[in-house]
Amino acid sequence: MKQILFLLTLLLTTSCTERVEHATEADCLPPIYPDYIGVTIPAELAPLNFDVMMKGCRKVDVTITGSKGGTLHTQGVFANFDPEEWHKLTRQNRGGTLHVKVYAKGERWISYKPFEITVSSDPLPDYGLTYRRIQPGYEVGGNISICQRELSSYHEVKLMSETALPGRCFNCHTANRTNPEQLTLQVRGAKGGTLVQKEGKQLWYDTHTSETKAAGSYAYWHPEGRYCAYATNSVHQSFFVRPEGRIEVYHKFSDIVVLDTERDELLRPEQLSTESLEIFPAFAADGSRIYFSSSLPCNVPMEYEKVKCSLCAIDFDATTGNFGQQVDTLLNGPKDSCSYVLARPSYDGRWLMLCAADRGNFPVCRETSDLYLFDLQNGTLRCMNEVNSSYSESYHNWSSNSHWFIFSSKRENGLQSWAYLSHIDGEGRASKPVLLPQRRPLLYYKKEADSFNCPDFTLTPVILDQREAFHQLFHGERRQVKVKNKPE
Amino acid sequence: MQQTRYRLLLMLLTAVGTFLFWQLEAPGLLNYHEQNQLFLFTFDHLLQALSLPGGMADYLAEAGIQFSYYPTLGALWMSIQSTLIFILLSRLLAQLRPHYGVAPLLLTVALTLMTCHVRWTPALPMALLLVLATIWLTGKSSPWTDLLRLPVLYWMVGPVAWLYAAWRLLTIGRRMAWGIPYLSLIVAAAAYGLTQWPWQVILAGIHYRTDALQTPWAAHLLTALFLLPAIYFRLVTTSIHVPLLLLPYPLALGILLLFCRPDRNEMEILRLDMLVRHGQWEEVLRRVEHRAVPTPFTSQCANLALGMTGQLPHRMFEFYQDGPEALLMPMMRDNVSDLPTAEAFFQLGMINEALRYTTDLQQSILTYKRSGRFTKRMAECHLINGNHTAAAKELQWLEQSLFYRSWAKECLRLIGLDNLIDQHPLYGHLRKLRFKENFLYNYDERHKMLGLLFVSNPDNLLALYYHMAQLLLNGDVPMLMQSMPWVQQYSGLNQMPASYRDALEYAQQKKSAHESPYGQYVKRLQQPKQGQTN
Repeated sequence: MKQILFLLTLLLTTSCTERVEHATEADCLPPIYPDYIGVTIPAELAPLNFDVMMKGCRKVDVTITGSKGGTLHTQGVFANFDPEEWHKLTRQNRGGTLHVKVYAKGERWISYKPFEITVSSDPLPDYGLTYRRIQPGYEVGGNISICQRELSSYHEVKLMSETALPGRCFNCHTANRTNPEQLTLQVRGAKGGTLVQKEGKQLWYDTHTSETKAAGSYAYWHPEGRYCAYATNSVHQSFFVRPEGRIEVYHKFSDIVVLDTERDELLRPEQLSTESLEIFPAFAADGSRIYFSSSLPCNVPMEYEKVKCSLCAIDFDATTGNFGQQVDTLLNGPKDSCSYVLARPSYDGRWLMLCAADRGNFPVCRETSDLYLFDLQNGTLRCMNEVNSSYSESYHNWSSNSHWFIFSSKRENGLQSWAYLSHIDGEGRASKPVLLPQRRPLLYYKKEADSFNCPDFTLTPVILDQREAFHQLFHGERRQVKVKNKPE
Repeated sequence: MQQTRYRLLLMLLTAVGTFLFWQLEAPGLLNYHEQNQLFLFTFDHLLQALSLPGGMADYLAEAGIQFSYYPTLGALWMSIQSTLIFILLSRLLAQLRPHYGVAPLLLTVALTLMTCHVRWTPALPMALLLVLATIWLTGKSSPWTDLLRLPVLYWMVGPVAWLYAAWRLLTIGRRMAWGIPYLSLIVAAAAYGLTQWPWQVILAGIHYRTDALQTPWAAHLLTALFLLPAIYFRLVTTSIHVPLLLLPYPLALGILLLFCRPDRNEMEILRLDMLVRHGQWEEVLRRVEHRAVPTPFTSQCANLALGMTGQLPHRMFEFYQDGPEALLMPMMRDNVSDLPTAEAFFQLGMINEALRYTTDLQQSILTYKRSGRFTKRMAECHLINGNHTAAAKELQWLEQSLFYRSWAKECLRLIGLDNLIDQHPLYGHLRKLRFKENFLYNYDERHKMLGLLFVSNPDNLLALYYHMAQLLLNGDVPMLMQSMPWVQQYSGLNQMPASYRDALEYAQQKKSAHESPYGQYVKRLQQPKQGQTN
């Protein structure tokens, strides 16, 4: 019986696979989509399936050979690798390279120059990614959802969606340094609220007080998990009449507060509630500082070009909940005639990645927004040209071991932001970005209308009870936070 | 023989009646349903539909409603669907009692009238049709086959599958007593597993209404009415005379129609939108002259039609003007209010605004479906703006549809070729009309923006007419006078247009409000609107 099965399998595979014969040599690299030529990947990543963008291409034949052994072959209308075999090969070649030979068949077989994929020796320990899927719109959100994607496969699930919470607009969930055991997110509008979930228990807060003017957004957890920093602001958008600019997003006010989740109290230091707009808080890796951006107040939207943020920092003592008296300016936006926003310290305390754009405090809508790397050891700043494009780069986040980062880029068409993964070495050099792999990338990205906003790593799968969220949002009570009294 | 004739007559009445109803009374609603979906001939589209209970009914309803791209074809489709429901219902009732009366006709009419509303989707009639067809095809087969049939049917049509279980209980008897509890278990399991939806939406049906949380209990009431004659006939044939059973029938039908009858104003507004979409400007004016629903929407449609036919400066105040928003509306979060504004922006050459409004209209569709009409308009805007990658993506979607395919194929030839777009009769023309300078859009100063748009290209007479009309609507006659030289220089009009002259005479008190249409508008504007306390 076994022999018959073996023969049948052999017959099926040999009848489906065509031998590549009389191939014409092409003096170029294969035109593949997505462009995975020369990228660096973690061994754990899902197979880098790709399409060959040759006119009239009917079949592709790909053979991958590992520098440390092992081969993988696939043939079909696109390069579709078996996940198990792919992972076997990448694990075997950790720290080595994969040599990829591509043939494509139109009228006849074409042989392209081989290219290489580096398998990093640094693992990617995180289970997957979370991101908010939203169609590029203006004032109406449409079918927004927060999704979770397993990195070693193509499996995606919705954690929260517009169908589960009809008529509600929610922003991205923020986990504590990729650990979803502590997460927060904000649901906007009437009957909205701020969710803080710890160890699976949902608490819905009303973080809007008479002193804070608005509910909290742009959250960031303190590493110890007791405190969570938010910006309280009012976000607006205006629209350009010519195609050169689409949207100008601005904030009319913005302060930073820190929620003490044990006492339901808001810490609101004067240094972070000035006339200037303090925004995008982020705790340092050891929790001893808060990095944030600050811009001088302007008459927006008229003076939208004057919005230039500086990168600042203030000390924070988690044991007492006290803030330092002095605000340090690390990078001066107005002086450099640019805007530094969205600082994200690596969890090993080595780097600070941020966006720099010509103006504004909403980098995903600024074409000029690029990723920069600030060296926390010597205070130098470097533009990460190796990952930037002529479109917006933003919403970057670090993997739990700080060897990888994920970011959004609009490089594909200037409208949709998609998630790209890159490796960073000890010197702060980033590898060529990898567009988030999909089983059939060309079809997927061709039909996909969503943007993948605020991608972040998640160490383990996120568990979020949507029915409970629905019940709490529509029928539940909010825990009203109070602003902590200033010490006498 | 007489009975057959009678049945044929009723069937003919159903077919012709429903066709005429959709064709004459509610073509706008068909157009509305058509523009809120995009049926794609792809396996993915089918798979996506099948991923939810009731998805197949929704998929087939979409497949049918796409024909409403031409409203007559849409009316024909709806008529065929209603007739099929009538035939199936007649045959099923005939199995219980040969003389079943007018119940099938009444029910078909009730279904048509109840679903003639923007909140109902075409999926409900399709779901009921599929249930009736399944009952018919099942015949008297063994109840054990329903072990598989019931979950499959539920997945195809959604919770109205209970009609099948109940009908089988009536016709087979106790052997199907487990049908409704079994179906309840299946629905409960779906409600438990599909956490992407509130459980009450799963229980009542995902696809029947556009607003998810307004659970479609009326759909189940109507479904119950489908069952009622069957119950009556069944009990009568078993010699139990229960005449009272028939009493609730007209009563429930009456209550249902009282709350769910079509809204004539809504139908009129949707019809105007259909005419605007197809550029039938004279027909827009004819209808508004005949019956103007007093809303900004009506004014915008009339003004756009007047502008497109060059009559705006002359006849503006012959039509109902709702207020300063009678030309262009601010952004509203629904998928109807801004339709004429989006069209006006496009015709004016304010392409960014047309794109923005259309994108938000698309995002406002409560079923989260992609719209063929809006996708087409977004692709046009991207083409005019030179964003070829985005346009190509939208055109590739449309290429997989039935009615947008040939247009999309034509436009795909323009991708990457700006010189061809420049030469295109519509897109090239609109490119030239756009603003020359970039600045931030300000709705409150739209009269200034319209003036700037005209200055950018003095061939853009629509912008000039809109600029002047906005000043009139704002009651700003002094500024109107300042802009008058533009009219004299560029519009080719030898005499001052009637609307401007009337406004001027009213402002100079040469006419009373009673004598001046503009004066009446200003007077009405100064009065608090109904419902306003001050």
